This record gives sequence, C-alpha cells and structure tokens, in this order.
Amino acid sequence: MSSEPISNIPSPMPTAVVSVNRLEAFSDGVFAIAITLLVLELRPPTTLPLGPQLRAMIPQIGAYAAAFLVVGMAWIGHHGLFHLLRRMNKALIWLNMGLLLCISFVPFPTMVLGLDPLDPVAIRLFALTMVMAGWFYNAMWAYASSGHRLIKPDLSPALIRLMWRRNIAFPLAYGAAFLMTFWKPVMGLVILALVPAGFMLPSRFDAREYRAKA
Amino acid sequence: MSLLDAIPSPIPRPVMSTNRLEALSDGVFAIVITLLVLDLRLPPGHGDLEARLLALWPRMLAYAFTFIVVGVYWAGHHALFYLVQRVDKTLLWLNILLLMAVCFIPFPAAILGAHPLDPTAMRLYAGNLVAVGLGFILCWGYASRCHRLIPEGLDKGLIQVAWARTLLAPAAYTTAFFASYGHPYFSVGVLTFVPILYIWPSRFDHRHLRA
Repeated sequence: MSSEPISNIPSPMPTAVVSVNRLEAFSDGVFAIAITLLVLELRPPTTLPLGPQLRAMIPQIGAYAAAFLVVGMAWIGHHGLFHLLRRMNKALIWLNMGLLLCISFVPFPTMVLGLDPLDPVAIRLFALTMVMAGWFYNAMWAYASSGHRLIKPDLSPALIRLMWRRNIAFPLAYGAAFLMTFWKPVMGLVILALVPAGFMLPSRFDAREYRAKA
Repeated sequence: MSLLDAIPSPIPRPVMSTNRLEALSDGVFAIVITLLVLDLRLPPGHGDLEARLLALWPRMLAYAFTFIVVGVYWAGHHALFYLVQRVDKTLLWLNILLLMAVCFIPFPAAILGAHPLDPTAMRLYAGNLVAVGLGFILCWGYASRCHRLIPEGLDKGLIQVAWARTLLAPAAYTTAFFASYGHPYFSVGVLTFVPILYIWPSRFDHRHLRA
C-alpha cells in the first residue's frame, strides 16, 4: 500500500461514485457527439433526379452504418468496463481521454473510407484508429484491474481474465485488418465489418458481467 | 490485503441500470435535433434579403417539422425507457440500432427541404422514419417479452398501450412510403398528421405518469 501514489488514496465515499458518474457522463457526451456527427459526412445531392445520385452514395452510407456500429460497440465496451469500476483517479481520466481522442476522430477515417472503400490506405487509416482505441481501452483495464486498483474488490480473477481475453481481441482483429490490406484490401474491409458482429454475439462473458454483483 | 479492499463499495450497482443508455440516447437526440438548423444556409448573392429568406421557406418548414418529429421520438424513448428497469447487452445493441436510424434523419430532412414534393425524397424520409419505428419495436419487444427487463408487476394494459403507440408510427409511415408512388399529397398528409397524434394528450400519458 505504501507504494500507492497519493491520488490513489480513496476520497470520502460519495465523491468516488460521483466522479465515476461524471467521467461516464462526459464520455457519453463524447460518444454521442462522435456518433451523431458521422451523418454530416453525407452531403445531400443538390440536383434532380435523386435516385441515381443516392445510389452513387451507397458506399458512403455503408461507411456511415459501419462506423456507427463500431462506435456503438466501443460505447458498449466502455459501459461494460465502467460497470466494474468502483472508483477512479487521474491516471484513469487520462487513459479514458486517450480512448475518447480516438473515438472523436472516427468521423474522419469514415469519411475517407466512404470515398473509396477499397482503397487500402483508407482501410488502414480506419483500422489504425481502432487499434489505437483498443490499446487505450486495454490499458485502462490493465491499470484498473491490476491489484484490483480501481475495480470492485470481489471481482473474481476468472472474470478479470475473461475481460482480458475478450477485449484484447479488439485491437488484434483491427491489427489483422490493417495487415490484410497489404495482401487483399477487400479482406481488410470484411474484417472491419465482422468485428462489431462478433462483439454483438452473446457470450459467456456477458452473462457473467451483467450478473456481476457490486 | 490492501487498504482499498477494506473499504466497502460506496453505492452498490448490482444490475446495469438504464442510466448510461439514457445518457447516450439523450445526447444523440439533443445533437440530432440541433444539427438540423445547419441545413439553413442563406443563398449567395447581395440582392434583396427578404426575397432570399423567403426562398428558404421549404427548408425552414422541413427544419421545423423534423424538429417536432425528433422531439416526438425523444418523448417516446423517454416514456418507453421509463418502463424499462435494467439493461443487458442485447438491449444496448438494439438501442444502438435505433439511434443509428435517428442519427440518419438530418440527411433525408435536408433532401426533403431542397425538393419538398419529390417522391424519392419523400420515400427516403418516410423510409428513415420506418427504420426508427423498427428500432423502437425491437427495443420494446425485447425488453417487454415475458417481462424480461420491465418490472414484474407492470400493468398488462399499459404494456398493450405501449405496443399500440410503438406500432402506430411505423405503420403510418409505411403507408406514407407506398402512397408516395401515386399520391404524394396523401403522403404529406400522413407525415404531418402522425406527430400530432403523439403530441395530443392520451390515456397512455395519464396511466404512465401514475405507473
């Protein structure tokens, strides 16, 4: 305990909860704005007839939907991680800020990807953004869970390991998408699309996590 | 045994509450409803300001109308999730799908403002609202099935009224979608009428507030 920095000394009870709530509220705001701004990259056609012009926008609309699901997945992951926290400190605030930096950046690679979904550089830019987000996410979990620093004291080692296994898959999958573009760009795109689908599937982890007692 | 382990968790959070789902959704609705105004741009030129403003009237109408539509959806989301007790991962995902349709609304709204009676513009708008309706159906269907995520004792009548209100809008917007093929004015009528139905005080509101 003597090695713990001063910021780790728990504040009086209510403040700890209030501050986790504020960090959640701040993050929810950032996620909400990032996810809503995605639509601004879709420029409405200005001339008639609309049909052919809208059809030409299908790649951009697809990129919008894909990016929406990716940000949604990141938010659900954030929700799951913060559910297990019991308090926070300055280091966690800044690791979280790193994650939010990546999330708020997403509309940009989405716009680039929508211009030409098969351009390997566009796929790499998107994948790299998500790899960065994934590392910040896992860094948060590493920091919060090591020695039960910020998580609930009765979380079992099995749940902590399960959380690791599930979330390390996130940056690894996007890393695979990044590398795949050097061989077959379309495969990179397929991986980008499959990751949210993979996280949507119900898993043993969810059953445990959502039942986790405080 | 560290000192931290000896300190009890301040407020237990045994099940996942709807707090964060509501926070994210409120943020999304608030931003969508605010982004609509960005579509109003004064046409370039130095001529008569009054004429240039008057030329914007279809866009102003589309702005005001869509604002009300999004407002109705927010009120509906608020009412529905008031009945939901807790969340699980599936509901979080279904809500993300619902929000995906909500966030798309500024796009067809801008197109409808530019081409008010174009059938394609109308279908895109009505289609988008049908998608939002499907999102509501998925969320409410999942949460209310066998009282999965709603309170055990929630009144059956209330659940049915909630269903009726969830199904009404997508049914009407589907009608508007298909009517646009031959009867665009009928579509406009339906699109205009639906929000009024929801804003009008109903039995649901009374029961709901007493629930």
